[in-house]
Amino acid sequence: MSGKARQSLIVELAGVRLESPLILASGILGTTASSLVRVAEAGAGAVTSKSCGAVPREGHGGPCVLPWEHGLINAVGLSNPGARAFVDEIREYRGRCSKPLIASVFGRTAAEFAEVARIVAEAGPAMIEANVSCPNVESEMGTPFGSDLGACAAVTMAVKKAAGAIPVSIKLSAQCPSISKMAKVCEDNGADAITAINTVGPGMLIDLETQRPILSNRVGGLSGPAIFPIALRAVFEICDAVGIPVIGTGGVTTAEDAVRMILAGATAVGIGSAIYSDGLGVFGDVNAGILKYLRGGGTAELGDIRGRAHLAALPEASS
Amino acid sequence: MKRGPFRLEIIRSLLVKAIRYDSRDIRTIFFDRVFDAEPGQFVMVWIPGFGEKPFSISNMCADMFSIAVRRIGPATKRLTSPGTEDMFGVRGPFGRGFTLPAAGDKTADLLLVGGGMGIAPMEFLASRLAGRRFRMACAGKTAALIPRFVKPAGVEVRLATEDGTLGRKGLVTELAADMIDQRMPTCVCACGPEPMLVRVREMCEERNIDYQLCLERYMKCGIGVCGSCCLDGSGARVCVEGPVFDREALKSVTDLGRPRRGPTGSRQ
Repeated sequence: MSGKARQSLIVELAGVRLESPLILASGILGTTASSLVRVAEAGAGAVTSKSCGAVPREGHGGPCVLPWEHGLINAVGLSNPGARAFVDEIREYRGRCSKPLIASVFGRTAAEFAEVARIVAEAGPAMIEANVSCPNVESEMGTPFGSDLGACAAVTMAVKKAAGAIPVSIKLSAQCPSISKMAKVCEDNGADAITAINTVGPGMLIDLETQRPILSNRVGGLSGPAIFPIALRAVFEICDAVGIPVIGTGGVTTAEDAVRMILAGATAVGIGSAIYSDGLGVFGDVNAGILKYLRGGGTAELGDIRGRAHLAALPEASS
Repeated sequence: MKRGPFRLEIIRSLLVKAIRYDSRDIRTIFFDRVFDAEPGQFVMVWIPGFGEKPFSISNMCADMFSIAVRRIGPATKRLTSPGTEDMFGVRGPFGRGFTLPAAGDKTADLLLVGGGMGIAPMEFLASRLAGRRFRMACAGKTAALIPRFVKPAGVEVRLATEDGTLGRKGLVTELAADMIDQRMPTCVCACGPEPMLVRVREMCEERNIDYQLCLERYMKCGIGVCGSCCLDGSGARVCVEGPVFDREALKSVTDLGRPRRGPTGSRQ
């Protein structure tokens, strides 16, 4: 391999071509077409919209997102305008921007997941991501589908059928007995990709002066640097178990983190909370940093380093 | 904009130092804390058990800062009639404030236009304009909906209400138009209901005057991640790139004056 080779960030994710492996993670700046366009223009290879459901939801009251020393904690609570209204935002985005849009969906039942997927599919997103792992609505919706193999299989099958030709990714939580088994079940039931992981938790912050939990929902999901090693481990395990591509998401804030995700086997890398600490410039900075890493190693493409960490993890050959 | 490392952005939880009765519906709340802030910036105030709301800073003096609060719901009622031990969490200051003319700029001549609760940040702005040339036009629907504010000494301040209960009878935009035509300002700084801001913008465009508008959108996080307050068109976040936007930044905004998005993200 020559160090002079021209480096490229282009990747193919379940048949979708991305100019950069960086994907805006769901839940951050994903409510309106204009905001998604802005993130795409900042350098994301694709953008994921905020999860939408069958009917409009206001979500939890404030405070619902707080920064703390090692990331963010949030209990936004799946606020969304409902799939019908969101279709207009997807259409507007597609009219203004050619970068792929991944539409995140959720439902209370497998049938509702399918209904929402069918509605957003009309607007022609590049991919549909089924959020089976939001931790902030458990009291209302019960244990997330992402922690039950059977339920996860049912949702995957239902969404896949509803999505037609549009590829489907299932967004998993790291909090299940075996995320690799969960991913395998998704693959076996037709998933085209896996997004891992969702926020971790729930967690809590308590204010010293008022001596009470700060989030109005009391608890919320953790994101940001605190969860990066968990996400990295989850991606590594999933890539051992499945052949479909993985969007490695969770606490990525630097180019080094993104490269680590790719070394663990991720095809694309989600970025969300880093927008808080680094601004929208994070996409450009991380893109540049990945290119620099590739140049340093004399590598031309991300495919050449994808999953490399697995080789090193094999038992040492006898000398 | 880089914010730097992750950290809990609560200035701290504070007891209310003083409450000023401005009108039947409006109180100004003083907290005994000071910090660096620009006029136009806002704070998120957590009213434990009642939620969290954004408020423009209405003044920052030597040992206190204040916000003007209109009593419209349980959270603002609690905030304006707290128990003796009630503490409120204050995060911020957030966003981008008004750009001030340089201290020695003799050519600068500002017109500050405040409508209703939009007068609050104008008081803070006026306090930072000492030594510069400026005038103020403040108005509201009725006297009860106008926060009291410290009138800067030696500055022309004109008042109006739609029902004539305070100052001249009429709209703030009529007041502003008269003042503009009397003496052309170099820049108009405005905050208030959006139809008023739209009209101020039209007046400035017609006369080719610079302007800065302080906007309001439904806000959840205040720190630029949730996306609730993004403007249509440019996608700018009111909580980070705003709430004050200049003429240039407003060029690509398409939802000024249109029904705004609510908590679900859809238009109300």
